[in-house]
Amino acid sequence: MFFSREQGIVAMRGSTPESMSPQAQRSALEVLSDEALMARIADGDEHAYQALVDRHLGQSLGMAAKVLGNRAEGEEIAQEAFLRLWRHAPNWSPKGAKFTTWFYRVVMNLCIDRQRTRRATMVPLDAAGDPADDRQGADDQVQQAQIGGQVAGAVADLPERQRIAITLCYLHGMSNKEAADVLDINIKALESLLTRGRRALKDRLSHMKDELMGFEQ
Amino acid sequence: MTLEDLRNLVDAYGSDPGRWPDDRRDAAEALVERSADARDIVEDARMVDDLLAAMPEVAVRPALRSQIGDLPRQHKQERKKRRASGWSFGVGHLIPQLAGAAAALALGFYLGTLNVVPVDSPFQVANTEVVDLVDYVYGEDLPEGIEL
Repeated sequence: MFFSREQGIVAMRGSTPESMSPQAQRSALEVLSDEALMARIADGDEHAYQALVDRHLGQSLGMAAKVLGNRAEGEEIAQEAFLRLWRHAPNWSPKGAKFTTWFYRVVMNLCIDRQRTRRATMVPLDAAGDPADDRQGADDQVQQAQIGGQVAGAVADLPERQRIAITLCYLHGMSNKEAADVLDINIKALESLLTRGRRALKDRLSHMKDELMGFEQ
Repeated sequence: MTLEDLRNLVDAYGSDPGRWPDDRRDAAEALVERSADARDIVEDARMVDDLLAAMPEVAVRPALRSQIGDLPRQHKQERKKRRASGWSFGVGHLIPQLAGAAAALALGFYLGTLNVVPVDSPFQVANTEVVDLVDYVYGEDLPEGIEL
């Protein structure tokens, strides 16, 4: 959906005019940076809030569910993180940090708090995955679900910070710099977490190598 | 770069050279090019990458999206109250703590000005008096009423 330069400029300047259709308003907000949207949310702009939800809900839910090994808890964490975003927006200041660094740090800290207050009931994520593609054969679907479930279980068994590092870098494609910022550690420390995490996963999952290769063929 | 260096590199960054740090990528790729052992190390790392890629995605339920989308409407009043306080950007939220600290300071100062040791106590010492405790330590001439 495209919008006119004029609509974009209006959206950049401040209020989103009521005369614009909801679709046009959404499109106008899409070009704004996360930080610019936060500035608008600070002024109570719910459209800007919705735009940030659209951008980051999937990622934050996926991270939380994988770190906690539990979809329901992941949903609670995502909800709490967005509530904090809304509440703290008036006081939020980038201070040189990107919005994503702040927001995903909130998500990860909520996950850590959750784990410390009560041991998560590990519901393997294979029960939480999307419905499989109809075009795949039934056997493939079952095998894929089994592999996914075992990997989810192995990731869930990693020590907390290794699990978070693996989740951010390998399951959500963050660069090592971004992940180090979220964890508030330096790159060397992140490398160490990733190395230990991957080695543990390799030991734990090495028996699945043949299974995986067979599945790929 | 040695095979051990390469092992450490792929254990941290995976098998995709695109993720390897710029300052080590060329050396690592050159090693992979000329060494079969190096290629085995990268292949092992690829197995872990493939397994991680097999983890199921977590889809957002429409009901969750709707619940989270409604949060501003549910919490609008609460945020208005915060901002209306006029202190929301500063130390407004610290007022109870500051009041408590001030009260504790005043009470401490008041108690400090009182001489709480009874007047007829053998322990009573004027604030300005220096007491030599050496004799007491060696058991000599303790004031009446004090025993070690």
